[in-house]
Amino acid sequence: MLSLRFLVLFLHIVAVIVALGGSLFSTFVLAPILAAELDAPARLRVFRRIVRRLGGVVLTSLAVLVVTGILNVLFIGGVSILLAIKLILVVVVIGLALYQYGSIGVQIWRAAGPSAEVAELQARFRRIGLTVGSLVLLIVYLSIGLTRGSGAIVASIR
Amino acid sequence: MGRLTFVALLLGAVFTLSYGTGAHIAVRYLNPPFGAWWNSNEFAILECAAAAIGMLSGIRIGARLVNDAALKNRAMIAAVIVSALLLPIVGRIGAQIARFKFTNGASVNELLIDRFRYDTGMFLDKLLAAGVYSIKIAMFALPFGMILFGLAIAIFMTSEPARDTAAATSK
Repeated sequence: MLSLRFLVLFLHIVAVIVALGGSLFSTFVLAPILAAELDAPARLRVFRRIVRRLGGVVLTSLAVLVVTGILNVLFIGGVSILLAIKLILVVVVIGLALYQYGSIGVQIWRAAGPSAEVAELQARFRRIGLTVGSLVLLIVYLSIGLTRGSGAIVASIR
Repeated sequence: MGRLTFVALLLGAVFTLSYGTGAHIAVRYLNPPFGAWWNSNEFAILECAAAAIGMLSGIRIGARLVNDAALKNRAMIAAVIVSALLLPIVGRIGAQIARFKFTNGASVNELLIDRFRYDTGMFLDKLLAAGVYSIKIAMFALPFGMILFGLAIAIFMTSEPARDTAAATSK
């Protein structure tokens, strides 16, 4: 219950919850409410702050996810095809998150004011957020396959 | 950045080939003390060079996805410094993971011996194993590099003053 392996797994799951939860909350809750309640200039100002803060939270949780994930591989003591696919998907997710926050997010953050171009960037930001969220869900599904599926390589945590 | 990657690639290629072919014998022949040092350190250098290739590649891939030049440069410098500090740890962890078998490994060994006879087959098998080992370490170090760059982006992004945003929100 209090082993290092248990702690690493706990941090890994918390990092997934934070990364996925933050992205889903901003896409499905915050963005529609901002669009309904605020005018375009105010919406952009708030959106800029969200992009910066959420970017920090998501990228940090992805870092925790990578470090704890690699430690988990060490604890498991083997690499299956399923795990290799999962690792490739993780690299894709990190790449997309970097593009979402480091490229589109920064363009929104540096924009002078509301415009058609900024609106398009905001729409693209949400689309990439949804793609990242879907890929993270797929990774979670593969993780369940690794621990509970027929080809499970993970022994139960003692 | 390009030079660093080139140096890492060069070291990786030289020490992977050296370990795979047992080239330390030739170095020993030319200079015995240096050959002994080479032999005892070539494997560690191979691991560190492979981890460096992976992390630098990760940072470069990450940098390609960011289009703000100032932010990208600052994040790249920070990520490279942290990568250099973490290199021995990442190299060691990557090496441990690279030792895990993806397959039972017997089929390639047998194929090479069948095709090239025992001596050449075993030589090629060792060379192939060293190459695959390096590639596996680099592949596991790549996400580390990417996420170090991502963390640097996150830190610089959140630490930069908010300009009009703060004023607008306080109103």
